[in-house]
Amino acid sequence: MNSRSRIGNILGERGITLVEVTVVGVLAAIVMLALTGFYVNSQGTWIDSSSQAVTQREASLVLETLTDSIHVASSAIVTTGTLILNNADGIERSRFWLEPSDQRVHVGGGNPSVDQGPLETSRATQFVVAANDSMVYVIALQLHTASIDSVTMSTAAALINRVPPP
Amino acid sequence: MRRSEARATASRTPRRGAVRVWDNERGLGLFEVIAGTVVATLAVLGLAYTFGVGRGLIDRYEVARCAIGEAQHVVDSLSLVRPANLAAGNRRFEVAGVTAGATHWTVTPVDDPLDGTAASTPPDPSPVDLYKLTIEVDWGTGVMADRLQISRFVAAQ
Repeated sequence: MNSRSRIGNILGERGITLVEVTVVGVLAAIVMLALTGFYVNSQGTWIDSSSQAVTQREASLVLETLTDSIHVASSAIVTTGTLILNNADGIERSRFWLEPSDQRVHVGGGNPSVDQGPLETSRATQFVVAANDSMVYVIALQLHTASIDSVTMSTAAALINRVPPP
Repeated sequence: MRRSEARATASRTPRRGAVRVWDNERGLGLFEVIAGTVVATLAVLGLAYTFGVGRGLIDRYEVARCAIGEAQHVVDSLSLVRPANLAAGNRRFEVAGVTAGATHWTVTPVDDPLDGTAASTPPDPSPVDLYKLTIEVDWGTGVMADRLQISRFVAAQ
């Protein structure tokens, strides 16, 4: 067989018909749509999960920061949702509050108190605290993820450095 | 034709065999397509399952973090109680106002060997030097049951 006849063999192929192209196109489109839907759903699940994990870590971090500050404080008062921790001499040591302008839990320090900025990047919608002579109760700390999910945590910490009653 | 001559002829005309193979392509069989589809479906389902499991674990960790807060709450509360009044107890474990499990704690007297052991001669005058507080938080049921335990020593006097 010479080279011309070989080329003729190849050129003699009938190719694919319009119906075949249409069927393959429809099937490919269905498969691609299904894969795209799966990818988008998976991506959404992944983003939700990771932002939920980040928010949980941030809530734990806020609670740990609060607990550490409470342990070294001598007394605590709560006024209009703001937790104020004092030294043994009654001078303010630090304060924590939910700042409505950016919806973050802020920490302040010094006397007079200076806002040292937010403790977390997640949006907070609840920061409920209560205090007595010996304990501070974080009744609810609610943080929101980038999606609609929320994380609510609570704890309590003792004022270990409290001034003992006479 | 001897074998060596045939091999030499074949090596001189390699493209002829290639064209024949091209002509004889039969395409994919139905069973090959079905097998490929089943394998691909299993792979996709497996991937989707891992996403669901990952999300479930993250939700589980949320309760675990709340349990840590609960255990620290109980530890700090017990640290304020006079050592003589320490006693075992329990309370509900709540997450966002909903009961998720239970918290139990026990108080175990501990003899610090630094001042002599109780059975020694002369006997230890104060065999209870410390109290070991053990707090357990249990939540979930069945295969999802989970438990967190922390301990702290407090002075007995």
